[in-house]
Amino acid sequence: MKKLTFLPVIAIIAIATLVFPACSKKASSNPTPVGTTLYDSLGGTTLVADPTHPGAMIEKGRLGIRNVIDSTIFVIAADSRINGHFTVLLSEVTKGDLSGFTDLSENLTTFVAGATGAKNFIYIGLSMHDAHDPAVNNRMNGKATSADFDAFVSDLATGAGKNKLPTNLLTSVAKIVESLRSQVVQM
Amino acid sequence: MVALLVVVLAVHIWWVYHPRVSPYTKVMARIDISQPISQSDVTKISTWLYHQKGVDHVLVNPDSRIAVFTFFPAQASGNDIVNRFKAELPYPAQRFMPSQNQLASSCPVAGSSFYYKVYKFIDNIL
Repeated sequence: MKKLTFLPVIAIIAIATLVFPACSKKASSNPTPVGTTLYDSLGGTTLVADPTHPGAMIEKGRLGIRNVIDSTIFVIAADSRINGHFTVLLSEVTKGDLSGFTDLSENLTTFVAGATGAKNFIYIGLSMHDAHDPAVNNRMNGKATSADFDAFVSDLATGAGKNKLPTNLLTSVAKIVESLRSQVVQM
Repeated sequence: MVALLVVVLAVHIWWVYHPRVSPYTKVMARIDISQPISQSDVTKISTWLYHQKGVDHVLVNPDSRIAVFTFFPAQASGNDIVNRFKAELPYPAQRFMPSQNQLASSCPVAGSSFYYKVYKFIDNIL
């Protein structure tokens, strides 16, 4: 897999952050000590060896988030309450060397990293409202229910537990996720 | 000369975009088990899957009777693993393969965004 490089596309990202409501804005409005973001608490920008890509480095914060996301994805894939919304996980190699699993892992990791205050990763996908509005996003096969959202949060908590995420950090992440309920659940 | 450049460009675009598998490519597969399974069965199934060459990670949910696992397609075939599962373990099971419609109506997170598509296009070129 190619290592993501953001500098060459800084102009596009700048445009995207101006157009889209930045998820990182929500994260920066949370009451955290000056200079310390939730991303910092999750590992921050310290570079460590990427265990899945020998020779590559990854920010410790992103690695921690990716581990939780990957565990959560497994839980979701085996959860009949909501796995119908995530069948893309089972798609084979579609572009480059990314499968549905890898693509979803990368995108969710970037989304959560941005939402927790990461400076080097900015989510440039659809806003959470548009992404879950079938009128805007034709991949959304119907509006998400509160039960769907509850199942997602439950699976996220299970994924975080598998990675022994400290309770205080899980609570902070859960607050960010819960703040998205009104955007995701549109019924 | 122009025709040659067009051909080179076409080959480059195909090379960038055609599906390919690297040693790090990971794919997820799902097995639906057609009978109730106990925690003991979960352990047996997980252990068996982890022993299969190319399998990276496994999760078995006894409530939904679903086993999901990631594997490296450079080392193994999902269908081969599932066929061996059906032959060697005493659980009636089928590999769940989503239809094209199901894949098209499934959450890709950033995939639907115009800006994400532009970013990925440029990233693939670089």
